[in-house]
Amino acid sequence: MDPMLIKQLALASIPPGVAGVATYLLVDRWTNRAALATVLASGALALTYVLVHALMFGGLRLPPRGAAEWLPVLAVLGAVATLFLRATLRPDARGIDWLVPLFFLLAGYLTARTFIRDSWTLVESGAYLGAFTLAGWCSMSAVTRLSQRMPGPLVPGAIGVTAAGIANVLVLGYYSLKLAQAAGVVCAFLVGGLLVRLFRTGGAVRGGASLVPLVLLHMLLLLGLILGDARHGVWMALLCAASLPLASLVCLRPLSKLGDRGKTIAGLVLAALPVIAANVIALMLYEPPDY
Amino acid sequence: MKTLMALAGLSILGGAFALTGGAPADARQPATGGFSVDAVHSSVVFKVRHQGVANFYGRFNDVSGSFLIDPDKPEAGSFDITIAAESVDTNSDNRDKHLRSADFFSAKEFPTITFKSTSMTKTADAAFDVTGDLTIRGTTKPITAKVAYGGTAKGRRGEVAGIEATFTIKRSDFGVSYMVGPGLSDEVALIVSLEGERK
Repeated sequence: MDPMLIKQLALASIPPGVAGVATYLLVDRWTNRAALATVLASGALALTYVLVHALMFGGLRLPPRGAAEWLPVLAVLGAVATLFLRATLRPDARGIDWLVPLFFLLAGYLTARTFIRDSWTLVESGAYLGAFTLAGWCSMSAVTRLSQRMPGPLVPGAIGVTAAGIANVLVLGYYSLKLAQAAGVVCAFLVGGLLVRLFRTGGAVRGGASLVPLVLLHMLLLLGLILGDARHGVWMALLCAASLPLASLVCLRPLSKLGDRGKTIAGLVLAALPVIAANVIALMLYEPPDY
Repeated sequence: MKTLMALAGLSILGGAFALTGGAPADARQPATGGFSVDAVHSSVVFKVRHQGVANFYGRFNDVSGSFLIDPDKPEAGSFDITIAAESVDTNSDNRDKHLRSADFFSAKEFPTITFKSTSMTKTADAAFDVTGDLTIRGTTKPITAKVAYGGTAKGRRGEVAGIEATFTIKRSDFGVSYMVGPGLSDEVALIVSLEGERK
């Protein structure tokens, strides 16, 4: 493998993985208040993403010009929004239900604003932004429900599995190593969290610090879809977006008899199924590079 | 008979001459009024260092715009050139797809690479320094290109003029920063060779 590629892969996986383990361990030690822990973990993930993004992309460009340059900005805004949500609202899903769609709508608009301004019709803009907001809201609702009922490794694991699948689809389906690396950062951080949660199930960080990774992953999917030139790109994106809502099915009554370990495994399998399907499509269409 | 053969020979020579480009170039002739870029006879070639050992050359196949050079009044000259980012061609479909992706040109988001001149100075008989704004991937930076003026000539469809511009950029300055390093150099040299038809 190209040494440059190995270096880039190591950059996207090792520092965020270490940061994920450190964050979950330190926050667990510091506080047992779930709201504060989630805010701290969100901030840590956003900071990790911004730093690694700067290293991967050769710096931060402010104000952002390209769609991908909004990723670190939205990571920070996601952490701020998490702080706002936790500080001003009761930690229930109802308040989040109102504010989260607005946040995803903003993220979608910033991601696609060049297309909205220059090339899309009103209907196209509405369709893309509507689908993006709906997908983000569904994922956030699913993760919120999961984190309330399953505080163990399922949430970081399910988001990590989704992120890994999205990273792979971005390479195989949408031909972008850079976007895949960005998804890899989210994946590595949450796999670090998953490892901690496997041994310390009762920790305070819940929800996988979910708004930050979810907005990043949905933006990356949208970027892959609109910037790439993939056949069946919409289907791959829709399958990936279905991953976390599907994982939340473990909260349904028929699966309640499985026990915590069984539900965790079932949730991870359910999260993996759509991204595996998306990867199968990508793999079937993939043409190996000849350069 | 000999006269007829001579006339026929002259006609064939004349036709062949017209097909291959027309009258010889006159570098002293001012290209007043401006020229539209003839994409069929123009080339945009870039050179990048690969693995620190070899130079790789690629090209853009779709170039348009207009230019004007007046050797006697260089300050009146102008360049307004547009290159379609989608038209990148490196003799590998997969690599071209990767170059068009978000990793490099993000061609769907930023479909054009543009250059608009802001000033021009004469440095030799048929040589100019042309300064202007180069926009790649939505980022605009001033650059100065060395331009060799090839003069004007009579072509099949009227008067034509030619120039060749050379300059080097750092791709990371324009946000094309992926894989910058010994594997793929930051510095990219460009040759923009244009033939234009009188507007």
